[in-house]
Amino acid sequence: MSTPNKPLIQIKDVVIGIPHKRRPTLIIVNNANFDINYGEMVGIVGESGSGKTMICRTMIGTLERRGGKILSGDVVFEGQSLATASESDWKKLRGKSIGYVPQSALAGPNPVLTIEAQLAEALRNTGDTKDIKARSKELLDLVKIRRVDTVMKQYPYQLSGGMRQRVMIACALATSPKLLIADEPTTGLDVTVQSQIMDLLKEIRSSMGTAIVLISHDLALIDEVCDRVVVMHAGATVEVGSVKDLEKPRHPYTIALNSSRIDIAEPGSELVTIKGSAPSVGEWNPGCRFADRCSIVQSDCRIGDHPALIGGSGTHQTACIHTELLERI
Amino acid sequence: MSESQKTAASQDVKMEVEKNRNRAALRRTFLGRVIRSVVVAFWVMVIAFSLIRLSPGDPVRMALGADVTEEAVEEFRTQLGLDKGVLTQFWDYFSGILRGDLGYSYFSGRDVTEIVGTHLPVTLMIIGLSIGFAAIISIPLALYVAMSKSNTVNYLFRALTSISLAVPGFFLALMGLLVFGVYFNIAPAAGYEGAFPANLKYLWLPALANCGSLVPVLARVLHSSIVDTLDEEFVETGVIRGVRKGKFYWSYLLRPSLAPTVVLLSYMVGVMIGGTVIMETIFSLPGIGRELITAVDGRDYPVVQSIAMIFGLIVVFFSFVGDLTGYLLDRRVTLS
Repeated sequence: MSTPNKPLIQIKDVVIGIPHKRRPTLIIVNNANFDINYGEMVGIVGESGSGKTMICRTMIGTLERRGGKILSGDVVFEGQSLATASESDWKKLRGKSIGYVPQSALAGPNPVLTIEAQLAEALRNTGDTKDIKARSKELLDLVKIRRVDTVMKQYPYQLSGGMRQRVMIACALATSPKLLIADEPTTGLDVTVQSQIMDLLKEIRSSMGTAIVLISHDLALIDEVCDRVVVMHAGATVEVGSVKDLEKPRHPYTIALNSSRIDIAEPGSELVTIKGSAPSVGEWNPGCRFADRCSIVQSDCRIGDHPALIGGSGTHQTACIHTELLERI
Repeated sequence: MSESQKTAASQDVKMEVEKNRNRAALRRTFLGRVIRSVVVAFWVMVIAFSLIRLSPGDPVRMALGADVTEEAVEEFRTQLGLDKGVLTQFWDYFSGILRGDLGYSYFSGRDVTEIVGTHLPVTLMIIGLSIGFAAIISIPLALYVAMSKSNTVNYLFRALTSISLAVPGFFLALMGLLVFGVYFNIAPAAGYEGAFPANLKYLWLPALANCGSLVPVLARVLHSSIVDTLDEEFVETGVIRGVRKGKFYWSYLLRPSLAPTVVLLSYMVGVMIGGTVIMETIFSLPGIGRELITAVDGRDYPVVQSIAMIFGLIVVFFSFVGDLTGYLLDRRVTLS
């Protein structure tokens, strides 16, 4: 992709597998390719099992904990390879240059520690242990938590889901990271809280210049807050482009995702769903893994490897080899 | 006042209310437990009072032996108050307790309060040591197995805990005596010395044998709690946050997992008391359990009733301490 500066993080042909002693290694992500630039807000969208979370784990270094492994390709963060990073390398990166907001707001904070203790832990990562208390309060102010003094002394179970997620964001921001990864940060939160959290992320991006990766299955949400979108299907990036690019999708899967959006559905009309379900890990046929669900599938779609992303107009890339047929959909 | 200030203020009020409610709950719980322990102790005493009288055998003849006249027997019976009706006897004993008087042994004539005072510390020490050993063994064991990805380790853990669950405490005690007392000669086979640090020499082996039945249960419960905790999202957050190793093990794995184990441990104090009675007999330790056995043998009514009541109190006390510790470790635990 042609951006003036070098990207902050590059996902280069990453293949992720789960090695097993007796069975062959299970490939769960194959052909993942995209970049994230400094200060950019990128959404990763896809169905469950499309490998969104796995990709996110490569960026935060928790893949091996869950039994996964980068088999080939690389993740490059500011020129440093993360695929080969050791645990001590990760110690320098995680919670410093890269922040993470977990999926479940309710289970994210440690239930046995007060908010103050958790913020202090995050702040100690900066190496500066002065004025931890004052800095903790600043962080809570930053994520717009009121009655800071009370909240500091409370345990997570005393806070609402939205508050807990704000605290998690505060912890992630403690070290002023360059990259913030938010893995479905609004799961389980109601819609008004969801939009508050999104507004907060947007604000953080603009005030602190933090690049944010937002993982979601909600295209509408991503459209609203992100600059660029990465669409994943069955362990592969199938389309990458700016939000504006994605208004004219160039992959049948993105088109299908778009037409199944609830927010643009005609009132009273039946909701559109995508035919079939994403092929399960380990049951991938040769060729394009969307072929079985695609309405414009051709015979050459089922041959060879999964198609790689091909550049179209500038930053807009698609993995569809028959874009000329897209008008038929 | 703006809308946001209003909500903030109402939230503050809500938090204050919740705080007060928590404190009130804590006070209520404490009071409730005190009342509960008194009630439990009372009923245990009533049951012990009835059961010992229902069992065959005349304490008067047992105390005096065979070579006495009928008059002497009757005289002693009157002296002990055993000629009165059961209800009167109960009232005499119960009102004595309220005055702090537990009665006198039929055999030795010793004040029961004094018997308890001399022998209870030994028993409590064994229980305390057993809990200590159980914690020292089962916590690292459960943690190690839960963190280990090796199938062999997990299999061994399950197998060994099953086997040790099936081994009775007295067998473990005898084996311990044989190995440590006879073969290695590092533990005295019998005897006791009263003063605190010196008596540990006599107590460590009984305590170790006593916790043999405790460790597999605790380790298993703790192991499964830790395995559940490991799946929790906040553990990953801790890893990502780069929390120091020691702190990570304590705050992110043990503390969120310990509450069920601690509560279970406190409920098992009753079982441990039973085990302690056996250990005291095997190792001839002057604990209260051995006093109880002698007293039951001789139908020494006041001693049996009082010790049973005290055991009831100990069990209730420990279960409260366990619940409270569970709550302090993890505030999600609610006190009932």
